[in-house]
Amino acid sequence: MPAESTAAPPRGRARANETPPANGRSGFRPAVRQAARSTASAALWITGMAGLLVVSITLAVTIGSADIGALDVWRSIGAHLGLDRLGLDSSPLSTLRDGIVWELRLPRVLTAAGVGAALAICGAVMQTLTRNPLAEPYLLGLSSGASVGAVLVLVLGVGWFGLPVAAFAGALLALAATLALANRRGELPPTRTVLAGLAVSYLCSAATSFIIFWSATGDSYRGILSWLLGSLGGAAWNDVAVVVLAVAVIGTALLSRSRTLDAFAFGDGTASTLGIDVNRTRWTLLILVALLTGAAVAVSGAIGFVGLMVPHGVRLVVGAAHRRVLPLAALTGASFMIWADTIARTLFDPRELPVGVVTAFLGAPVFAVLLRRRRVGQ
Amino acid sequence: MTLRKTTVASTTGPVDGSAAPIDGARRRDRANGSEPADGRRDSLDVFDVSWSVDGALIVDGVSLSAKAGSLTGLLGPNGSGKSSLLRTIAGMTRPDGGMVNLGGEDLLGMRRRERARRVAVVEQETHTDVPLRVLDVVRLGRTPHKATEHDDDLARNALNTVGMHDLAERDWHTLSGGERQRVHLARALVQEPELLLLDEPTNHLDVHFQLSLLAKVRELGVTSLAALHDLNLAASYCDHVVVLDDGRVAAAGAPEDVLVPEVIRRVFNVDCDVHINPRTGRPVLMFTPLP
Repeated sequence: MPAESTAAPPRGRARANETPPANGRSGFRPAVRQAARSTASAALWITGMAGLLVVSITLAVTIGSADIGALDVWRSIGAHLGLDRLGLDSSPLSTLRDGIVWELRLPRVLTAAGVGAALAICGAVMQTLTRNPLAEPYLLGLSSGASVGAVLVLVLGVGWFGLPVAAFAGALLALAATLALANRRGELPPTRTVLAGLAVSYLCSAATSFIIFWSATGDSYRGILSWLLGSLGGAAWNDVAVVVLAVAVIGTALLSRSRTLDAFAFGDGTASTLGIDVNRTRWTLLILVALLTGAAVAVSGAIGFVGLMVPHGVRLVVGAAHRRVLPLAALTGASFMIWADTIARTLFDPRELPVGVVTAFLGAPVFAVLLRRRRVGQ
Repeated sequence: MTLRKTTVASTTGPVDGSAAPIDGARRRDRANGSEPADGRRDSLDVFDVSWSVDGALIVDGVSLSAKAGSLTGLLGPNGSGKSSLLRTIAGMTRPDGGMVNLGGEDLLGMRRRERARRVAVVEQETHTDVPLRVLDVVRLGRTPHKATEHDDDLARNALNTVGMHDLAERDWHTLSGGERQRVHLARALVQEPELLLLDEPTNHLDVHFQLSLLAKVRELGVTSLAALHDLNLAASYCDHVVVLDDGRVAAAGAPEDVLVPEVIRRVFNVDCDVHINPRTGRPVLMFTPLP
């Protein structure tokens, strides 16, 4: 404490950074080693999950009523990518088996991967932007808006190709309504945004129920139900293109903003003093997330749970820094969705479970285990 | 433990105004090769700042200055506009009128990110749901700067400065209130600010952490403006205090000139006796209710 009464007390302005840790026994080293370990472990996790994704894609394609081997999968892929002309492949698959791999199973598996990655990324970003751990990709009324569009198409019987477009349009309309409702003097306060999303969701759900009640019968009812709970049946290469492209472009854009996202950890005030234009960032990123969610909803319906739980699980493992969370969430979500969909289509073969049911059944226990282990570990 | 030792070191250490600035805080000066001898460059000047919300005037034409490298205390009863003034200076809210200059540069007209490279804020209590490591929290201070591979080292240095080096890998949620505030101070330091704004940084801290936090802020030698509740804390650590009352400056000057019974009675509505702390020579205020 200061020693003089008149002049300002002396100040060691030059010393601050040279001050060694006062207890003297701990130098720089243990912490450096620890940090290296933690960075290395995140890198290891990402590499591991990337490997798992490749294995998952391969194995999931082999599973089904027609007997396909893992080698066949890569042979077919190689042939279609033109690698056979390089002399890498001597025994081509039969047209039938090649068709099963290339036209049926592979598009479905890749769509599942894309949807899983998209939902996991969206969930992670949503939870950050709204500072709400219960936030999920469908929070802004996206899924219920998409449902209205999809159900209208299913009930009114517009051509099947119209469904993804209608779902996407419904999602965007719901988003516009939510943002308009949440908007206050150009700001999007997080709680207000969540509540606006809820209001829009309930309105859209009511509209969906009303349409079903009024006009659905038998077959169309089953079709609607499977879409509402999420389904990847009938996924084709154009679905793969939509969702994988969306993940690549929007996912990269979000990843490039990971420092900005990190800065939201302590709320808008802190983010703003760290030089972030909170409002512009929130508007921009929410719209990006909505587009990515819209792409996922359009090809798969509303699949719950993945976007909520995968980001939390990933954060429990590698912490909350988005440069680690976003890639790992994408990879984990992709593998998770592939296996959920594989179970959905094989467990009660030939009947198909809605994949949303499987994601919830699989995800909840995994998450519970993670949560418990984490608590014990501390 | 850690902090008490460094506190002692800082008071008995050499007084050397021209010593090299702490790594970072004055880097810009050093890069320009023009470390100002009088340190005027980072002085804070607030002219006639007003801010109102929904028609209620909260900050009413406040002017104040803080000398470069000094710690200025912002005092006043609840609702006198301390936090609002700080938020305005930090650019978190836009004032109705007035100017804020830092080292002669207009802070309010500056781009947000540019401002964040000069002004860092430590708030009274912060909360997060996400599992963050201490080092990640400190690294947030690098947000307004270009990312470099040295960010981790800078963050560790800052943790070192606040005596929290050993806790770099700990989960933020396992820290005590005092430790959290020191981590936020470290986060503010890696921002390499020329001005440090602290909004009641010692709230909810025990007496040891209250003293050590302010001692640490003094020691940094960065121009600092701190809203404080505890008048005795301000009397012990501030070079200069500004008393706000109902959004206006009621008194300003050296603590021993401003923290006198007349001012305290007028602003805080309590009677007060001022003694001198025999160990530090600083004023100690003892309060009694008005009859």
